[in-house]
Amino acid sequence: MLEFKNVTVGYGKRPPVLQSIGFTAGAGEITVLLGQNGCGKSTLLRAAMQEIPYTGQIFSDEGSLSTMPPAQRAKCISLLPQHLPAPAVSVREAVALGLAPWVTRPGEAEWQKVDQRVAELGLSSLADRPVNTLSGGERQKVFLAMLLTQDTPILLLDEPTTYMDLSFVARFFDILKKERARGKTFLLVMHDVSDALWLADRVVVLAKGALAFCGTPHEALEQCIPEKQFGLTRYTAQRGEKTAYFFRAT
Amino acid sequence: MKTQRRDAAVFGGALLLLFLSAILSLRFGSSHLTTAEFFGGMLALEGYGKATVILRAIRLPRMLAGLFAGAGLALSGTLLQRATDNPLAAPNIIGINAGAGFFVMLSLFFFPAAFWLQPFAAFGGAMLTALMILAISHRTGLDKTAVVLCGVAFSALFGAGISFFSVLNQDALASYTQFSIGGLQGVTMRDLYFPVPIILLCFMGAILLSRKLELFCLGDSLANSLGVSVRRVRLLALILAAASAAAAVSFAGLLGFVGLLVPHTARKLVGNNTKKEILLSPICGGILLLLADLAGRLLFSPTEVPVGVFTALLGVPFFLTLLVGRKRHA
Repeated sequence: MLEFKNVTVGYGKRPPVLQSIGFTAGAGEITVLLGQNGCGKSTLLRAAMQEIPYTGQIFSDEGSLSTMPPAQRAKCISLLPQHLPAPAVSVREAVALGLAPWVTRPGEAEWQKVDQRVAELGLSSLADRPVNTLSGGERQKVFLAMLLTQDTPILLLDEPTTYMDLSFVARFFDILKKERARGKTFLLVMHDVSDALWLADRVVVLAKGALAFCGTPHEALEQCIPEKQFGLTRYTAQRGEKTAYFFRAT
Repeated sequence: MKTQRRDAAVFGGALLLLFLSAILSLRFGSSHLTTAEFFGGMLALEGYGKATVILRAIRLPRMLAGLFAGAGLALSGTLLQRATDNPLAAPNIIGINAGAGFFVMLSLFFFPAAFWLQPFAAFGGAMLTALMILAISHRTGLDKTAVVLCGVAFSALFGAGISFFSVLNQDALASYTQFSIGGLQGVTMRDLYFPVPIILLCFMGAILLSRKLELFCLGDSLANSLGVSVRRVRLLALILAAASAAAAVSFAGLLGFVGLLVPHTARKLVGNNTKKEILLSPICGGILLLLADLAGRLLFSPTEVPVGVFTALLGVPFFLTLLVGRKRHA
């Protein structure tokens, strides 16, 4: 569980980017943060990671994140940032760095876990390649594998599908659902409203530095949030009894 | 298993080379010693008084100076490159050269006869400048770009200060030039009592920080996510880097090149592993400086060529060979 209570975030003396944000991303749930560029989605994730100062409280099941020592926090919450590095270490070594909060030196069992994650993300053929020789999408998979290896109860993902090819996005969603079933709390920043409503258990919309909506995808559809907040047009596809919604800018 | 064997070969080879360099540094110099004189002098046997003086009062301090100056500068470069995730980082980016140079120039200008003051001015100036740079960068959240830019600004400021005082006093300029080229001649054991323990302490501190520094290659955000207190670790690493380089500069002068290229050489040899790099860099730095000093003493004897010239002449071809060889292999 990740709970934001009356969180206000700002940079220096400028007016706050986010004001009085309050919502809960539940355990065993995928919560998706939506909003236009610059509305403070990434800022909120950075606040949760204690990278930037804020007022208010951010709680996990283990207590307030602001008072938690960094080493303990790394066992509780992890972040896949929007801008990914390109270190000169191999894919396997990079994924193994996810074990850093847990073990000093990975043993046989830990390396097996690493290899499992590498395979799960379809990176086995690249395992010995240096990360700095990979494409953006491949690097995204590497750091996703690293995050899953870190195995924290709360995972924050900032635009995780940006560089992924479409065929992998479906696989990525399956991985998230599998981890959700293990009780993980996910908070994702996404731009594709159709994907967000398809994947999420809860949708949070930020607009003009404030919370504009928080509810289930069903409630978002009922209240026409995509249309009102983003000016999108709704398309419906029917397959048997299943209805899928697609949104496009008009 | 293959990596372990390769590492053992690299570390074993490096230590052997360091030992041989140290022996050669003691064995050869501008005064010729026979093998008997060498062993007699080393063991301070009766009848070998002259050899004992040459070996114990001149060559031993010089050998230790070369070893620790190389180790200190290489360690500093490694820490800086890791802490700022910048492959071009060297002690001069946190103002070590400019600060030491400026304060040495001040000591030469105001107290031209007080030669004993020079090492303290170099160490104090380097540390003071590095701490000022860190204090100012700290206000920007110790952002790695801010550290580098702040270092550039201070280097420009102190460079101007050095030029100003050198225009006013030509004698000070002559002495300063000797310091700025760097050299190990005239170093005594007494000169090493203070800086060597500092370099050793920095080395131990660096080993303790190595695991956290390893994660800096992932950028600040991911390092933070993995439990590193990014600002605190970076600050500690930069302080250790400053102290280590300042200690080396205090008795060896400005030998900037070692801190830049030796860490790269170590990385080429042991791969991108911070702990191994921290262990290997000082050994490689020591080897480079000892061999460069030996070449400087012997090749144009009785004229001595400053060690700084030969660190470049020996180090650059070796480094380039390594770089090209690895690329071709890849």
